[in-house]
Amino acid sequence: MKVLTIAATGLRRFLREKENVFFVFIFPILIIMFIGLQFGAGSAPTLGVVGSGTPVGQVVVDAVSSDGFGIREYGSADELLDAVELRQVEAGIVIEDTDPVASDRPTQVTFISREGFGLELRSAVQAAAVDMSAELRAARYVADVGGMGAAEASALIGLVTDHVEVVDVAVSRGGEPLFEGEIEQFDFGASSQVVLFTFLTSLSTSGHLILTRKLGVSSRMLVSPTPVGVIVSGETLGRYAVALVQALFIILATAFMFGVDWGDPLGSAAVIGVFALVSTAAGILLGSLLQNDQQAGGVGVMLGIGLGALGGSMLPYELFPDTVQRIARFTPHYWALRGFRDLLFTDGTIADVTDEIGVLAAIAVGLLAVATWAYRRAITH
Amino acid sequence: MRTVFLLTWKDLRQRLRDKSMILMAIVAPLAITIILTSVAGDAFEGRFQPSFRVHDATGLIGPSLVAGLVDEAGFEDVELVATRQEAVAAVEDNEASAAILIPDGVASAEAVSLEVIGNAGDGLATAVAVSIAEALASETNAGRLAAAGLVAGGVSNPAAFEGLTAMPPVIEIVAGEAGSRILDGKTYLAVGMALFFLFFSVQAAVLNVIEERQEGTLQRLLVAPVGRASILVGKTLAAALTGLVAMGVLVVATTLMLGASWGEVWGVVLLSVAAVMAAMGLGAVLATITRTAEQAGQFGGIVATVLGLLGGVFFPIVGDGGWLDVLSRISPHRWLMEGFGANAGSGSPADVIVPALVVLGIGGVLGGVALLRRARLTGVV
Repeated sequence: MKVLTIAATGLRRFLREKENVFFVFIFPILIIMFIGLQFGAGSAPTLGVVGSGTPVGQVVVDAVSSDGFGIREYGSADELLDAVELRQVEAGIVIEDTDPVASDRPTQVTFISREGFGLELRSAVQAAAVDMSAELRAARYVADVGGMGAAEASALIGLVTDHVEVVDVAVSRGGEPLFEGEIEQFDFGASSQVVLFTFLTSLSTSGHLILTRKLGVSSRMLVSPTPVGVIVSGETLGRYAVALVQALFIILATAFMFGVDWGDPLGSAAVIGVFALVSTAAGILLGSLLQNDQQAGGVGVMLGIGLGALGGSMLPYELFPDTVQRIARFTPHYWALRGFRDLLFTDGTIADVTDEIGVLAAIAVGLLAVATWAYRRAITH
Repeated sequence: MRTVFLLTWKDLRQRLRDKSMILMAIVAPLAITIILTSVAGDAFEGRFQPSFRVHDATGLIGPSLVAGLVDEAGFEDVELVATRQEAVAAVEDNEASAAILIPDGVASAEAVSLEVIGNAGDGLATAVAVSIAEALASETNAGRLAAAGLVAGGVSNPAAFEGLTAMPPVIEIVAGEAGSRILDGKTYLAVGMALFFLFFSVQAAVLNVIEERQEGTLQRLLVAPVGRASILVGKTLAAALTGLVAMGVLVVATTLMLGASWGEVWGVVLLSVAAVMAAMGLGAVLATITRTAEQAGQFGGIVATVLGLLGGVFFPIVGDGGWLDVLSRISPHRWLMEGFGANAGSGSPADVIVPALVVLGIGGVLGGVALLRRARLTGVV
């Protein structure tokens, strides 16, 4: 019973601080919203265009936008250059206003991009230009070598078009997708952030435990007829409650606000439940080893962000260089995220993530043993 | 004057002894930048480098296609393979992003399909491979159309038909020059983290006045024969120096350790001074509206985090004129990131000076507000 009282007191003291409330509840949601808005669905690169009203421009713009890229129009080449340099658009084109068949030289399309960027847009522009140019080129060639006018040659090509067998392009897929299944705009961010913040908060608020010692709360509990084991269990439980409350809040908030599908409830609950225990143990260990609550905050933020990034909660670990991917396996984040990959993106169930839960549970038990020993030592010595 | 320096020196010494200050101002931003850089690797650069395998059953088109893709499009990993199976296997085994297969019939007048097999994990590269194949198809179709047109037009001159393989283009895509005014991946992280933590450390330095008020040392200073202005100037100077030193250390460290390129020295100095001023202004206002050091620290942490997030220190804000772009302009971080981008890249001096002036302005306004409320700052005045 005393265990619960100690846990509840810890939780109450924690939630009383406005900063904690912000970083536990509001900040993660803000970040998820940001990631969703910036990198979510429909964020294909945009092409800036000067001269979209020209004969060539109209066709290129139609083709590039039907490839799924965005189009933004600019009034002058200078404005476009500014936009490209500031990455307001990924690349841009300036189209010369000439008639491609009647003119005696090619219509120029100037493609502007930062060095090494915008290659996919360049390909799209090129494809559009080449695609429209089959008939135009044939017409101009026939006009040139056949000694006829541009209009006559164009009419001639128009006549034969239906009778000529053409080469087309067939597309199929092979290999394995990097991410399987449907991934909605906010799904990726939501699962990464739940893992990042549950761990980060447990560590960055470990100074709380130091304050508990500094303010003499621990010593007062110790002089009361309360076994050390009960105090340690109570504090652990309180901090575990904080981690769980935060995780649950992020899960529910993202499910309702952004429509994130968290997959098999049992599987997700198990992964996050064990991961929260790992976070709690890590936080208690940090709070027991350090003596200064402000330092604990700094070290906690550093470790929380560092391990989180390494474990794949900032950038998908599939994109890491190989050696870093191997190092990532030593973080609990990696295992939790691997579990969420199966649960969220391929609709796996708890049976599919037993490996991940097993590894996390092993880390949790090991870390918890060390952490409670260190905490016991910190309050009794 | 001597009193001012003595006060500044005392504050600086105190700060150097404070491990959490060094942690927050230097160790944390540096460590996080290093981890994020190693995790992100090339992924952060945003450069598009697909790998293609080309098989050409005609033996006529493949070599020039591959050469074109390597030399003109700048794709490094494009290979002409001997068999169709080899190309398909590379995609199936996730070794290539797409295979482009040219069938025998392309060389005759048959209706055939060029095949593109895209790796399921690489949609963008597949799209690019499709555009390449479409360009190739169009090239072939133009020849077929022109040949039919010549026949229909009664042109029988053999030279006219020989020229079909080298018809002049009607649209020419030329590369335009664009510099970059945004930060490259590594430098982006270095600048972003430096700015993010700068606001924390400078704020903490400014808010030190509240601590002194709480501990009663400020009152002792006030009853000593020291002008109030000297106290204010001395403390302000100490806070500014703290920020500038932290910034300087981070610039040098990230340049040497990570190869971050901060650009022109004058620009870095100007923008750093502006950043420190804005952070001090913010800290000063916070000092006048909060009562205790804890409260100020908490509130300051939230404000600095939100402004950082909004200003794009974690994720770039796209300058597309959308609501997020407009809203982010209230954050000094946003202007600073833009200024640093222009300074490191191809921006003009004005592109650096204008953001710096805006940030100095933000600092000035905030500082002015704090001065108007300075009665609250010293508590007793």
